[in-house]
Amino acid sequence: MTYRIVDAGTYSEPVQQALEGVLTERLDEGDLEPTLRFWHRESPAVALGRFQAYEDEVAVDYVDEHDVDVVRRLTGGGAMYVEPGAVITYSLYLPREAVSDDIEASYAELDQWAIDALRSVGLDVFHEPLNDISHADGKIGGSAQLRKDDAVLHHTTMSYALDTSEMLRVLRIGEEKVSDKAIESAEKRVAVMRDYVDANRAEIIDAMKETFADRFDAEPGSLPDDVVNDARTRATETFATDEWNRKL
Amino acid sequence: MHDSATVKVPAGKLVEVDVTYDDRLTDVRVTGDFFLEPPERHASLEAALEGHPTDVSRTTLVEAIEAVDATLIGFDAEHLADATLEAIR
Repeated sequence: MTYRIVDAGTYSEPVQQALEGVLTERLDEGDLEPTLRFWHRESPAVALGRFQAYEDEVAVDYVDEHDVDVVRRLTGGGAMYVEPGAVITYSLYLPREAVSDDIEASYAELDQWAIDALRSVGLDVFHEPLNDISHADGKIGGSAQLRKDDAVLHHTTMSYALDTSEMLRVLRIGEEKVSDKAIESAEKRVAVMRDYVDANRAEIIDAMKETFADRFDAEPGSLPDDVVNDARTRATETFATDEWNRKL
Repeated sequence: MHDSATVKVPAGKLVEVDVTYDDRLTDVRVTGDFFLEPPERHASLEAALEGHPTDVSRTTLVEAIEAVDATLIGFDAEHLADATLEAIR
């Protein structure tokens, strides 16, 4: 099995989330090589977990006033605040037979190469079940998965230099009135890579690609135009609409 | 009436249940940072909690949840049943 590594293309948050569906389906249908994709974003955004209630997670007035895109993902899990250049997001699109059926084990396995890459640049991180990548000081990132018949999507967002004060204004975990229980779950401190390493974001991504290519058979690739076009259509029809993003 | 309750699963996810009810549970919404495979079964999961009388037993709710052909990840049927009962009691 040869992986493609795609590290190109800057897209809006709705197109990014739409790409996840299109690429997972292409792989499921046998029309895509197993792929590792690094994301490049256009603007600050919130990636909302599929089953989260919009108004429970997002400071609605603040995101409206500051043009923060809030987009519901295809995957479950929690809300992530993201800024271009301040986070590292990667996706793996894999054949189902390459992934453990044990879901808890599969999160650990599919994050391990990334954890090893971060360790190679001096970041002391570890997997924390179910789906977190953590540093002793707090959570660096989180993963989420989606399973199709013959395909698995595993995507992870990690904080490189996130403005955590802005995060607390955008997400309601920063509000006092959110119930204690909600805070308890969400308030796990966020740790940002830049506090611990000299490597810049591009160098960290390079280290990740290197580790991945060392461990698996991989070569550079790009997204076919029709994949991107399908994602743009799906973004307009779904991921940029209130009907999808605010349905819960 | 409309009430809600939230369960934080130890070392797991957060599940919030919003229930509209009179003598029966008429509308149930389940939200949170959990995972569900396949995710399209979310509506079936909510539907499984609807229609029960307000004095429904925990066992009945757990059985109704487990009858949905979906894998709950980060929580289990008992957590969801408990949150539902807490909302209406």
